[in-house]
Amino acid sequence: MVQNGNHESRWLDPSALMKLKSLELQIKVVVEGFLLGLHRSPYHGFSAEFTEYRPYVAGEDTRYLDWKLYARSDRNYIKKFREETNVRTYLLLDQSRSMAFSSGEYNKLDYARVLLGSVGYFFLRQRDAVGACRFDDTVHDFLPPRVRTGHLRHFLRVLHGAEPGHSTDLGGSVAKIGRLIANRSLVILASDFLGNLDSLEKEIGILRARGNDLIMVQVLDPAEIEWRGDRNLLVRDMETGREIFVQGGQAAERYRRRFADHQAKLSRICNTGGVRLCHVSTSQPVDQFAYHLIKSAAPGWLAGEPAGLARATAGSVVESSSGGDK
Amino acid sequence: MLGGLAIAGPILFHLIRRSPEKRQDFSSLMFLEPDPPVFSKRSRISHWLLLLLRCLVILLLSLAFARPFLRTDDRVVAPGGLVTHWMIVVDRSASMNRDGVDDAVARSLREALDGSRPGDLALLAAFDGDFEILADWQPVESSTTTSAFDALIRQTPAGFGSTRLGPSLVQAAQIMDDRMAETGSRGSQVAGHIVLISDFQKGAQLDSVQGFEWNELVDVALVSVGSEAPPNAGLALLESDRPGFLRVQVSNDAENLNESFQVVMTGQTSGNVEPQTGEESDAGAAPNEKSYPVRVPAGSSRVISIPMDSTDWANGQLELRGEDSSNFDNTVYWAGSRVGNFNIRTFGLGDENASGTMAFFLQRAFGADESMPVDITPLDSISDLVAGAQYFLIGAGLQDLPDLDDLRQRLEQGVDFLWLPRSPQEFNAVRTALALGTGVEPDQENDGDGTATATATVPVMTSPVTVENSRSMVLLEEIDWTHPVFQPFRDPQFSNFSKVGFYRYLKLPASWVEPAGGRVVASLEGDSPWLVEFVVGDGRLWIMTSGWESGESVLARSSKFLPVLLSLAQSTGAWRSGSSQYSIGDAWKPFESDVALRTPDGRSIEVAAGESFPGLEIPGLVTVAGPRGEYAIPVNLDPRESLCSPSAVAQLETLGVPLNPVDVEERDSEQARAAAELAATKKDTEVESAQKNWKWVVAIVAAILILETWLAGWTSRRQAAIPAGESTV
Repeated sequence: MVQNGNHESRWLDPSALMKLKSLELQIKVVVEGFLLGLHRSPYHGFSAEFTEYRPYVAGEDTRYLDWKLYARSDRNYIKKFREETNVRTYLLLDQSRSMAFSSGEYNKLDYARVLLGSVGYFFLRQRDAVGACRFDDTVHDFLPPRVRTGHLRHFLRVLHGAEPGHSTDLGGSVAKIGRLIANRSLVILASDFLGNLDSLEKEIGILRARGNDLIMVQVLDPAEIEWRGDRNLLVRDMETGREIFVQGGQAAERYRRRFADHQAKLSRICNTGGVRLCHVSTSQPVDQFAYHLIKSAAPGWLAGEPAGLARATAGSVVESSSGGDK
Repeated sequence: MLGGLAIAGPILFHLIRRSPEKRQDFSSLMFLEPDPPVFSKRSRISHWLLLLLRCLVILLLSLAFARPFLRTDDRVVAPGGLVTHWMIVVDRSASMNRDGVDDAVARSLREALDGSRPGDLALLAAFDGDFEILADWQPVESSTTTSAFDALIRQTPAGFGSTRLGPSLVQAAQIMDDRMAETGSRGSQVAGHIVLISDFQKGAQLDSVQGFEWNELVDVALVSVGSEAPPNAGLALLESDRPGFLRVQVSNDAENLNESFQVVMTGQTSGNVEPQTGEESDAGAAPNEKSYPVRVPAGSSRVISIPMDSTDWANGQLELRGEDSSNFDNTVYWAGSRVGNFNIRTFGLGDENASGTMAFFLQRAFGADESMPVDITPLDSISDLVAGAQYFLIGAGLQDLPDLDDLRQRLEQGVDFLWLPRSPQEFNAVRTALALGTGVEPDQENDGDGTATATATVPVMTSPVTVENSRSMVLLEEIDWTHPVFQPFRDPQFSNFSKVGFYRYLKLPASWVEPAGGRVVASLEGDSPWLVEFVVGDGRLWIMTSGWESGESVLARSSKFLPVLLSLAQSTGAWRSGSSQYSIGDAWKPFESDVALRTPDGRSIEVAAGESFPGLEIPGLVTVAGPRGEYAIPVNLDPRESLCSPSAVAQLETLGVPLNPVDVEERDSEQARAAAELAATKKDTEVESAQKNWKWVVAIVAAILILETWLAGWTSRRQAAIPAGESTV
């Protein structure tokens, strides 16, 4: 559960950050201070860094025979290298109409946009390929992961184009995006997950089964986490336009109970699917959460981080529901 | 009038309204639940006039839809004057002969009039193949009428007829309709009630009920009486598909536990026909019996072929034996292959044993059909023809016949003649003898060279008749497909006559045929008629200008020879095809001139030539004694009578027969009430259509709506001018 407040002054005030007009400027401000580092691949490949020798087995490609060693020792050995891979990352932004909800100065969509922008910018700086797309009940502006120069502009254009669209179809959209993702990738999905979760369970299972690593970031407004209406209200659903009349006192209790059930269901789905789930409130500093997210996505990237920074992140921001790091 | 309650709507909406303090957008309503609206209680009514107008609109609209009119006469017809017509229709078909059915009929008949009241009318009818009224409409006097009907039914035992349930029911309904219309015209309320007492067997013929429009005041009570009867297995003789065999269908009831039967064949030699019925047949072993075991599962039927070749029996009976306790359809009668008759007499067709002659081919064309005995006899003179009998004459080379002048007389008596003139001389001689033309005397007509010279009524023959010999085949050029002879070949599948070619033919001038009263049926190339038809009295003359002799044409060797000859033969009066068996009620026509019949019950009846005998009433062998010897015709039950399972009730329901409720008294009072209501409604409708007050109400509503719109607009404009004004309705 998101815990408001309790963040140290080193983090940026999200209200101030959101006042910056340029998304590029916003994300650069956020990423400023993140330490650069290399991540090592768990896969062996044929790249630059030598790892070991292995005896040659008939039928193997002779390109990787160490001819010099053969000349010296009259034995055939294959030279193995450590592959340095680039992580392909897909950043998926929910732009459904419910993301436009705000109880303060900026809405969930703005927040999620800066958050994903920061993460993507950081990855691009690390020479990792970043792709992005937006979705509501369908998929918009799918940008395949690239690492080339100028890709940041395309990436920011995709995020910048996010406008509150239609109603959310989480399952359907994840299914469509899953068909677009060809290789094993890291997928970060930012949404409020306020919708029907039944179809989502199956689709993230399929996504995971294809070897993708999935992190789901639930962005919520503080007013959604705690129902504050204590008066009689005519409440209109931003996605469907349906209006209902609620009475303050009774609604709060009911809201609390149902919201807890929904969150528990979401956690259970993520647990079952082996997906890391992060919750964030829009009152939280973006840079703090982005830092945590990157750390959660690729442990070891931020090697050499200040000890205080790590402690503050772990203690205050996020409670992750499954196997992932805190 | 319930519409008037809608007035409460505007008043309620006016007094009550929901009062949310604030409207708010929220991301999702999935965690919220609608609470019941909180109403504020307002006792003060604002905008009295608007409210009043709106209420008035709703009130008037509901009034308009009620289509008001001023009732001038509130008379309601009382149900006292109701006359119910009872028609009791009893099935007397062969299947009602089963054990126990008669008792059930008597019981049902006693109960049929239970619901009747004094003043009602009743009719008793019976049907099998025909519908018969046993007692016409009469006032019901409960016990007297019932016992009279009971006695009448006992005097009319079930016969051997088939069950024509559908036509009978329709006829009953029509009789009922007529009578009800007659009673109704005297001012009484009427209702009709048909009580149908039958076994509703599967074989009942129901087709004609479909689409029949039933009087809505008539209903039908079905009283099923066959259910107590034991399950039945039946035997039916089918048309034989190969000579020398009898085809027999053995059908078994679905409820019959027994599946093994024996078909026992007994027979007599020709001329030894003893009248007998199924009841008289002795199941004990007789020397002239042949038994064929057959196994028929319950609810199905099986067809078996029984050979006749090994015996010299000419006729006899087949009996079904087994554990079948219904005896009524276990015997069928059969007779040998004598089912048809065709007398052909020929002149000058040559030796039938000499290959290539026309007689040779004719013998082979007709000689092979055993089911249709064809008697082909060459004659020397016209006088050899028996007077009164029907013949198909085929002749060529007629000029040598001694009594040629009698030919026309024979044709007029109904003899059909296919003439194949061989030469111009023969053609002219016979034409003269037959006086072909418009009733011209033979001696006036012809001068012998083929041209007509005599009177103005004789058609002029523009060119002489000649014999044409062609090296190449001359084909048929034009065929009149509408003519009965060629109609069967009309389909493109059969209409190819291009393989039929002629080398030698008699060339007739086509222009002569029609003025002479003939009709060209088919022509050869060069507009030369090949087949010409003349109607002479009751008979017909066919002139075929080229025959089928070898060398004359290839007709006899083409596949069209037999079909054309058969088609010609069937169009003659001499062709008498018959059935291998007759059912009860069928008409039978003798082949010979006069015959004496002996029916199975021993009656002797003389039947003259040309008359048909409709009295095949009892199953058995009818002996026919005529000039050509004695033979038997088998008369059997309608095979459908064997289908005894009671399934017709469900069919009647689906065919739209108005089946009635069981409680007759209640039905009658309901019918009376319904009839009274119907009359009252009709009257109301007439008055209403004359007054049409609702149109005025709608006009007033329109006027009020205009006023209300103007008033509401005026009010809202006025309120807009006052910022702190109250909200409207």
